[in-house]
Amino acid sequence: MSARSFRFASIAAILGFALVFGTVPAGAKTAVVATTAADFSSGAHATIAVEPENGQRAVQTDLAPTISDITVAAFGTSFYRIERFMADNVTKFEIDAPATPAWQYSTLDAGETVSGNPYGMVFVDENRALLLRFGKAAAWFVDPTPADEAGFKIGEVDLSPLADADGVPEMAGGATVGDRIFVILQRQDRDAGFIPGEAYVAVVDAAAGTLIDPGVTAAPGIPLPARNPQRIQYVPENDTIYIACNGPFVGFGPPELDYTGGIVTINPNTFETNLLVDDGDADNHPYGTISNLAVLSPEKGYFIGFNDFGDNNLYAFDPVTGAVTGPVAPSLQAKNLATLAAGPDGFLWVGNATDAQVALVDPATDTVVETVDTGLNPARIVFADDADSAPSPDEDGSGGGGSGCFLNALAR
Amino acid sequence: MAITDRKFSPLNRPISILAVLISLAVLSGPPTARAQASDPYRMDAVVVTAEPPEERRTGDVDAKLSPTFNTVIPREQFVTRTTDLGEVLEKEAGVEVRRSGGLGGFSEVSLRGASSDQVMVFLDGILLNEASGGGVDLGTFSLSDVAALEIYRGVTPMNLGNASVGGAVNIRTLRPDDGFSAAATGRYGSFDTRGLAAVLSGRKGHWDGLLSAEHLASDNDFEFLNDNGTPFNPGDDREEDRINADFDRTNVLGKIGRTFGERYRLDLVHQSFFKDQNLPDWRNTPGTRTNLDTERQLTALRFTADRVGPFNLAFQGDHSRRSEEYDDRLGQIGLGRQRNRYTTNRYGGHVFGEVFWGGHLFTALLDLHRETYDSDDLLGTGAESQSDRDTLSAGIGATLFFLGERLILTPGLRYAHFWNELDAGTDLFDQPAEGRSDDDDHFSPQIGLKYQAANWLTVKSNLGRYVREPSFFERYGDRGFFLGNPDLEAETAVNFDAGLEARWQAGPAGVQSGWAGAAVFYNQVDDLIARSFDARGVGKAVNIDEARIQGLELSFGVSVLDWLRLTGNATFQEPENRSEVASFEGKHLPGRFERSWLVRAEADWQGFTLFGEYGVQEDMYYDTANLLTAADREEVNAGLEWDWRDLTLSLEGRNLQDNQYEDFNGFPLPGRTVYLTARYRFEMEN
Repeated sequence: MSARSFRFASIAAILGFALVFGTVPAGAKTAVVATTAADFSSGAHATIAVEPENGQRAVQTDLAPTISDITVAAFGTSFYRIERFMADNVTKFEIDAPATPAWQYSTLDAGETVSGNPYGMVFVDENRALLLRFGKAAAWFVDPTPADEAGFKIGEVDLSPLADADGVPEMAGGATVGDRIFVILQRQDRDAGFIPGEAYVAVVDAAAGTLIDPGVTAAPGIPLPARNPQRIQYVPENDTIYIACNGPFVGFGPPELDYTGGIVTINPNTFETNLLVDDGDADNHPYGTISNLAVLSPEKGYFIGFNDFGDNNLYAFDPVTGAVTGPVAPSLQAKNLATLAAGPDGFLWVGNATDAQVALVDPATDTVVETVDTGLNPARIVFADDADSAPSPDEDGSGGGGSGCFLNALAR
Repeated sequence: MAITDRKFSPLNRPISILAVLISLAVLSGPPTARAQASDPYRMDAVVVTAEPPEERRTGDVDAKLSPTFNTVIPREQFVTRTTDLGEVLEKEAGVEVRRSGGLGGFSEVSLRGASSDQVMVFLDGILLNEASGGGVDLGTFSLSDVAALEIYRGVTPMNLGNASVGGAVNIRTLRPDDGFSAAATGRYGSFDTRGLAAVLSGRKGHWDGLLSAEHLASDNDFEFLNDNGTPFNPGDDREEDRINADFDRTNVLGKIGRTFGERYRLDLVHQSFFKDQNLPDWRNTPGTRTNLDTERQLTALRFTADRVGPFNLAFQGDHSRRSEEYDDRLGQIGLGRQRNRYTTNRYGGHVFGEVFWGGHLFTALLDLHRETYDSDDLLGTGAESQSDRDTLSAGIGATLFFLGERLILTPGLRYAHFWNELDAGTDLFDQPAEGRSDDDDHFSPQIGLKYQAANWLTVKSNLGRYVREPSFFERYGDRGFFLGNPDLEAETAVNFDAGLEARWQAGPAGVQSGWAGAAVFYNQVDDLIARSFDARGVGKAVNIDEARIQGLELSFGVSVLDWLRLTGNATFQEPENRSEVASFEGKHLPGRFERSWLVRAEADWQGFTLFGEYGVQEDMYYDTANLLTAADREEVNAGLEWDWRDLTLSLEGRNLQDNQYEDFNGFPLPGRTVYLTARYRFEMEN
């Protein structure tokens, strides 16, 4: 065989191999769902293939059972399960072996006596992430790919300048925008029933690991016009950060603070804030409180309106004007809706904790087009790259920025 | 894990098995000698009673007449051995005790797969379960003043007044002896456990009295393997001593009584209990300072009048006060800083009467109690709340004798009316909290049958309907991020059991006496109250579950060659959750073992008693979805006791293999423990 023939044969063989075995589309992802028992007696995680094959999604549930107070984050082909209050650890899994821990490390320094209550990981790149610790004043910079446990913690950033009187700022989520990490701070008063105070966003220099003073107020942070931020998401298409603020849980705080939440936007360049959607007041609160959001595109976002225990609804909103539509998705009305995520497939992924399902909502029709059983109740949804995909960060707020999902969404 | 994966269980055909057992027993005829009334082994389902019970007083349960599958554990079985109430109870069939740690720590009892808050616990017939919720913490009781422990599975005798869906345990305290007696006990053992106890008892003329006091303390710093909260990372595991688990407690019981002629008697009883308990955190963190102080004061005045015409009557007024102060001001265990005081006051009285009429025994009971529950935040937020419950219980029952007393029927009917009120108060945010009130009533019929099929064989069966009223916490959500549910229904259960007991004197191979028993049980619990949480982590009690618990209990005991005794029991149960929640449906209720068995051998020789025990418990889940499996466990215990005149020395070792287990996920239990006990008795006739 001549060299030219050999080259041709080789290329043909490679192409043939790819045609036969390369059934996973480039950029394919798998959803990783943190799941919890209805009575919080246990937890686990589940995986759901984003792209069905032959009309079937590959689903695995009840993986690596553990406690219920967990969340997940993802970057590339890895995902990280974070066990929170009193457990204080992070476990790394690879998406092609989702039940087998790659490693598990503590999120407490030796000698720390109160739980750090890790809440999430915000990724800068494959070697650097910010570990949010709800129970502490300092967040950790960690290496998600350490050689050993000693290499896991690589630094920390002190957010105590933005803490309330109890000294703990209650960091609850974050998003990476360029070389900055925006961290939402609930600033709950631990000495008085965890009443959320004036909320702030801390801006952290991702490379230097220091707190940036945005110069908005005397405090080195961005004050929010709503309380108790729950979820943050950066949308690169319109260069805007969206934050869902719940306000105090109604009935668990002073009545005058009820319905002091809403959806807040931040311009990451000017730090200007805007109350895009107001949750109303004690007399008029058409959606209840706003407990979660997901923005699928600059034209379409969703939030959960929390009406009462187990009685939540899904609303659509315009991420630019703030105009609200809904409730939408009739089959999800009056359910215990736990979480939202913008799926790489262009659908909204909704965690339905009444029926232990993830529901996929088509933004074109605002209706549920598919449901997937998750075993236990879904609490958090993130997306990891499949093993043969190019690494990319998850779109979820805890996983930092990225733009892949919007391109996919628009392509549908 | 699928239910079908489980190993073979005799529960697949429990009724059939029982039928076969009965048939075999009857067809095989009586053993070589008939049982006699003086049999040192008094046969109940799983009973070994070494000595006859104390003199029965009006209002006491007469276990001999009761068809319930009950066990009476006399003081002699534990006085020189353990100080742990749960440890005594859990050796009986159908009983499980779960502990959060070592001696003195929180522990709760389950009978036949019921949850601890479904099991009623009484102290001398006074109800200890509180309307505020949760089961009774067995770690707040001393054995030093206990005369006997009575276990009633499935069915609660009418004499005890209140009943619930999970059976009952009655802690019967000492009563004064004739003449004068005194005893002192000293104890020392592992983890610097040390205790002193003394009892004085006397009777002079019409007066009698008793004073008992105990102080017990332990460092509880047992060694265990701490996984540092990272079970998938063995690299950071380390052997550590348990931190901040020490406790000390003091228990004092005083009784004074006077008889008026032969028919009337007045008793005044007071018990004081204090416990200072430190609480370790989940990760065994150095520097943990969390603490729980418990105080209980209980006073009862009782008047009995026998043979007043045809009636025997008992009147009782009682007051109990339990106060707990939880101090986690550093926020080391709970979420946030907490320092709270919870106080329950309960007072009221009851009237019990019984009459023999037409050859049958009829009983009636009327009980009225008021209970108040106060919660105070001691961190200065001003939050406080008070809840009240008034309970009226009435019951009538009969013990009907037929066929020359070979057949006993015990029909009964209870009525209970509850008035619940959450008083208006101040919430954590210094806001006025609205009051609420409601009332509820229930009828609970029950019937029992006891038939002496042969001199050596007794058949028993019981059927009853029971109710558990929701607790304040479940109904009002008066603590933490928990919502009240005023629409919550009471749990209701239909409990059925049937079984046989056989006993005999003499037999082959040197067997001198023996007994054996078998019982099947089937409990259907509806409107089971479960806790559900929403996405915020806020909880609420809801009626979403049902449960079906069926099982089989077996027990035996033989006395061989005058010096050897062998006893054992086994429990097989299927506590099936029939929940509306898909991930719970068909799963086992958490915290219950599916199979457990225990064998014990005890030998006497010249004042020495040597004993050994081997127990196994298998198939338990920590969680409702059955994803977290508890380790199967086996435990070997052994001891040597020496009686010399009035002195008894006892050396006892438990968990001799030094295995590490957890009843609650993440809360290790001690490994091998050894205790040395010395007891001196002094008695003087009048």
